[in-house]
Amino acid sequence: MSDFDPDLLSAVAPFLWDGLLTSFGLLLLAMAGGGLLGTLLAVMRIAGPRPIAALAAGYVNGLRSVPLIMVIFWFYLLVPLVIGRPIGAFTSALVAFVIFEAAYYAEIIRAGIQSVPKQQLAAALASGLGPLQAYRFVILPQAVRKMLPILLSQSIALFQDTSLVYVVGLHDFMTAVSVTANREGHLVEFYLFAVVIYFTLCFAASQSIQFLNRQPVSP
Amino acid sequence: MQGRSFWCYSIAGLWGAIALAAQAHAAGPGDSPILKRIAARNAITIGHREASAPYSFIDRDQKVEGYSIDLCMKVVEAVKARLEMPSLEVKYVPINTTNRIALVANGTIDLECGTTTNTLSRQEQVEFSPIFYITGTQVLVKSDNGAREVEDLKGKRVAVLQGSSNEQSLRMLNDTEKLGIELVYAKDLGEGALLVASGRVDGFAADGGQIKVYAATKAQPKGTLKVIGRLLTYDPYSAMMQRGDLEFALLVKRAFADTFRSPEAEKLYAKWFGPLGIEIEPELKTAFAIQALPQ
Amino acid sequence: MTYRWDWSVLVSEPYLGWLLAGLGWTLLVAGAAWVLALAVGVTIGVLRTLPNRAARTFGTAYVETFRNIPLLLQLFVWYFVLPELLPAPIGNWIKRDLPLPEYWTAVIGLGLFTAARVAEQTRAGIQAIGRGQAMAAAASGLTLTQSYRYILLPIAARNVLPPLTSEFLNVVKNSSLALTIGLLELTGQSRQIESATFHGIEAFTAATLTYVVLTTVVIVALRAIERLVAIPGLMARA
Repeated sequence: MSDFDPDLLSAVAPFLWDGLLTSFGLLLLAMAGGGLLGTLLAVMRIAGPRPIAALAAGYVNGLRSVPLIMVIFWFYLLVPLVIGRPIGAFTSALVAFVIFEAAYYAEIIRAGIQSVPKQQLAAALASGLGPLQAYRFVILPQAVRKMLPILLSQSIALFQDTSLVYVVGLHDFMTAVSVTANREGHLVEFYLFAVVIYFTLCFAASQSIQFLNRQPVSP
Repeated sequence: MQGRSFWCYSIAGLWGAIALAAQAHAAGPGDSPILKRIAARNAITIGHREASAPYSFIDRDQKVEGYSIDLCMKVVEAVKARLEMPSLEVKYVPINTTNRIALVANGTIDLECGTTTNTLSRQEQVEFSPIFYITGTQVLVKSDNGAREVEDLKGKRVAVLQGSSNEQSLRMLNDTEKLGIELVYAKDLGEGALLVASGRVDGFAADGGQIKVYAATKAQPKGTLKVIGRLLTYDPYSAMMQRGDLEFALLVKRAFADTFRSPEAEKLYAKWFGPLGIEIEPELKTAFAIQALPQ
Repeated sequence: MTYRWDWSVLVSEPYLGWLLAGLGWTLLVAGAAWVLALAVGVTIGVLRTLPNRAARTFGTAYVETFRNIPLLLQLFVWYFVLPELLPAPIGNWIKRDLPLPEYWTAVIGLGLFTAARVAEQTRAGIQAIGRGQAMAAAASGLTLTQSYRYILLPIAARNVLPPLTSEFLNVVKNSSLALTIGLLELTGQSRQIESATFHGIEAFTAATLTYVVLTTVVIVALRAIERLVAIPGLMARA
């Protein structure tokens, strides 16, 4: 493993770059989809009538019971059999991430809302706001401030989770690195390279979150 | 005798004419579900391996290449001609030993072009093309390893590709000969070979042809890996397609038979294996000849 | 399409045995990794809230390192990279003589990864209490150790219970990543059955249901504890 050719990295750079773009694409789309679905689930669970709340709780707990790898496998291998139509690796992975991450976002959002003291809702309702208005103007703004750092951290975790598409061979950054490392026979160098890249990206992101977090918040 | 052979020729000629006429009329997808979906998408999806050089792999320019891929391109040409779609797009989907059969069965892939052994139990799930390569399970070890047969690795750690026919044969040997070999699972050929090179396992049981190529071209430093042992299994390679589509299966068979009948098959072999110094084996030549069915 | 159903494959030998072996490995990996994660994680989490700057820096460095690299990559580094970087005798010992190298790699990798997350929950739990409590504790004459022991940790423990539930479930589920370094736990065995029998749906269903049962038991138990120790007056539905 000692004869590492420095030109090798530039030769494979376009392949790895494409992989990184795929990782980012998955991240952004899954954040948007998972965030929307997650908010819906959280509000259903807290404010919905019993059956709706139970439904949302069932979804969240069901999805949180299963490994992400399993969800990715299901969508990749088995769903096409059931619906009788193939779906591509990217689409199937994206759907798996949205469905899966929504359950996690929902829990964070729920915890955020529940951390707002009960009296706030009572006060809002007493001052003549409807329940939707109370959530929109009183509860959610406070909840969002509390849960934003956790939501963003979860998104960093999501970015790292995109590496799991390795198991279905979609060429994200991780898979591209692994394919190259095995083909060129330089596991140590390529995996350490991936460590540097992932660490730099995720560390920068988590530092930004902490910076945001330190900004003064109105009491 | 003269008269009889005249009749034979006339009947053969008649059938030939009917066959030609039928072929001429058989444009379009007919009632083949696979051809229909290819036509509808204006694309054929080829399943390929990532690191199984020189059969099916991605080169440094991210191009999917190899011996199996070139053979499959003959099928693609035939599909283009049949559907009269010369600009048919070719899409590539990477596969591995654990997902390849499922992806063919569920229709994600129209034609799998890798290093898949054609077995009867796999034929319960998928359809196979004619055989285009013949090998068997052997073991890749370090050159300084004294073992000559897999039995000499008794009680040692041996890597296999999960879901491969090599794995099944080793499990069977473990049962029948009580070898107590500990199986370690690798994802692809490169990873299995690196497990040997780094000393994590003592051997890597895989298709002989593939590991010979690896030992000859990828061992670092050169000459540090070798392939040992008799052929533990008979592994004939075929391309896979979805089961139950006779029309498409016939088209594939025809494309392969045409290639085997012409010098093209041996040329392709020489193109991919010649530079590695591997001559075509007599068994494979015979297989080409036997499967070169007449029109 | 052309899928052939056969549920009997799940109860036929050797496949039932494979599934059970897979469940066994999942529990063994998750159990050992969770013990490691709790021990390391709570320690690091407390370190990050201490007044001592060196302790905080160390804790922060640990958390940032392990939290900002994907678990899959961490496993690969432990498995493929570390033995090559260590001095040859130690590297060779890990590769050749360590019994069950895939298992221990998975436990260490998963445990240390989860520890960073546990540490973050612990720290957040302690800091969520607010400085007032810590100041009140100090003002009433408690030492630092006492204020952690009697004031901060008991409250923090309640705060972190829900997120720690998720973390524990995460360990169980993340143990499935061990399949990428060749340890055939529950998910790996269901793939194994798929490639041996081509009955993927049956095998995946069995594995999925096993995970659901496994985690439902954990969730129900921990929700009960959560309700038992909940702090009154917050918006949680009773």
